[in-house]
Amino acid sequence: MNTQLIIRLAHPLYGQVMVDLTRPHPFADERVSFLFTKAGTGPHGSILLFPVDYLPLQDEQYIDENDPLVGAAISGDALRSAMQRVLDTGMGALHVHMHAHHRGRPRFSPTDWHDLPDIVQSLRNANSQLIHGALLLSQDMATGALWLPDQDICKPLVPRVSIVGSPLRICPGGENRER
Amino acid sequence: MSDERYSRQSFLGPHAQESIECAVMGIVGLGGGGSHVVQQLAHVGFQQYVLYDPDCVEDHNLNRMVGATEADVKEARPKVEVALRIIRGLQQQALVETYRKRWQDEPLPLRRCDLLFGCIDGVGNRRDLEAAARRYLIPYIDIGLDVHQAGTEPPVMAGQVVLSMPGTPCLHCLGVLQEKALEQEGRHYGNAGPRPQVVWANGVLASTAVGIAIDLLTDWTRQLRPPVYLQYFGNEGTMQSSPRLTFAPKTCVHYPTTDIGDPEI
Repeated sequence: MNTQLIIRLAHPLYGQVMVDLTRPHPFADERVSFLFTKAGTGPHGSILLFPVDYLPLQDEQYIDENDPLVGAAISGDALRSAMQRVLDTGMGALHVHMHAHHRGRPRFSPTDWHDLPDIVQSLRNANSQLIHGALLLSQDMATGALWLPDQDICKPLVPRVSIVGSPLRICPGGENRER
Repeated sequence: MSDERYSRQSFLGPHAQESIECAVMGIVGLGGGGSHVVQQLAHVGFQQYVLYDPDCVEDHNLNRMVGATEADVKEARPKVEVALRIIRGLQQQALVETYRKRWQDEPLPLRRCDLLFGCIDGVGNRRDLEAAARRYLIPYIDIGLDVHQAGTEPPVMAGQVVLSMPGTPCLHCLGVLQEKALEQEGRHYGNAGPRPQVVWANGVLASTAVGIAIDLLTDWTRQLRPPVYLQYFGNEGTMQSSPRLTFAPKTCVHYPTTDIGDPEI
């Protein structure tokens, strides 16, 4: 068995995220938020991440960029609040958003892949020793992208993601992305 | 894998086989209950297994351990090898990790499992396994069987299958694990001798447990909502939802969902 990265999200917290992300925003097409993770040690150097804390963003923390390719743009204040939570808790952060019209395994868009490295770099500025990344939800599944502390910012790793509830949803990882 | 092989279980849903094949199944204990579980999972099409059992096949296992033979007894074959043989007979390409030891002696592989079956004796063992499952957010299915005899009455055979999901009532909350029993076991109170086990009752419990696992992964019934606590009455041949569910707390008070991941020192 190879080294694996695994994200396991408990259903109660998943439910909280879904409720928050599906709220309409006055002008943004979608909402984003942050999850903060505890870590666990797996076999053969594998790492498990467990989101335990959630930071929803306020309406005023979005900015109107009027760009049809961008569903939601967040302010520097929003990113700073996530960085502060990283500093306060010592937990890694996951940027979270949802492709609300999609069922099954979601895929990060080219815009996502373009923007995520900058967000992760900001989170690294708060704590470079932690694993940061992103979680993308569809209506019923989730996928992720992670950057280990020494990971090239252009080469995120794709973790296995499970939503631990009934049903138990598992999205295999592996197909790593090189930008 | 040919589509034909699983055509009779296509009612599970269009993506069910995909969900089954990508799940990592952990089975702790490969005797009377665990051997049935392994066999059924292999038939259903699971492709990834983590198996633990420290023991070798002995003569007294042959009354109930599916797949074990007299030759296995003669050769003192480890139970994990018998389980591997069963899986390989049905799924040649399956990824199978076998550990001929207690899971506590090599716990890391257990943590990558998506779902755990506990088919083990002893309340302390089950407490420890559920605690590990809770800490690493793994749904845990516990099966247990016992036969009691009191006076001149016929023996009473009873058992249970419990689905313990993170956040929902645990084995303590449901009264399956009780402090008194844990204390008694810790003091080796009362030597009851070998635990009575029989193949047909083990089969009923293991089949029920596998059914819960398949439902959890595929949601084919769209009505499985944990906690699940099914009580088996072997004398009557019935399985029913435990009345203890009515009195259990809504959320688990023993394993907070924030108390997960590696313990912080």
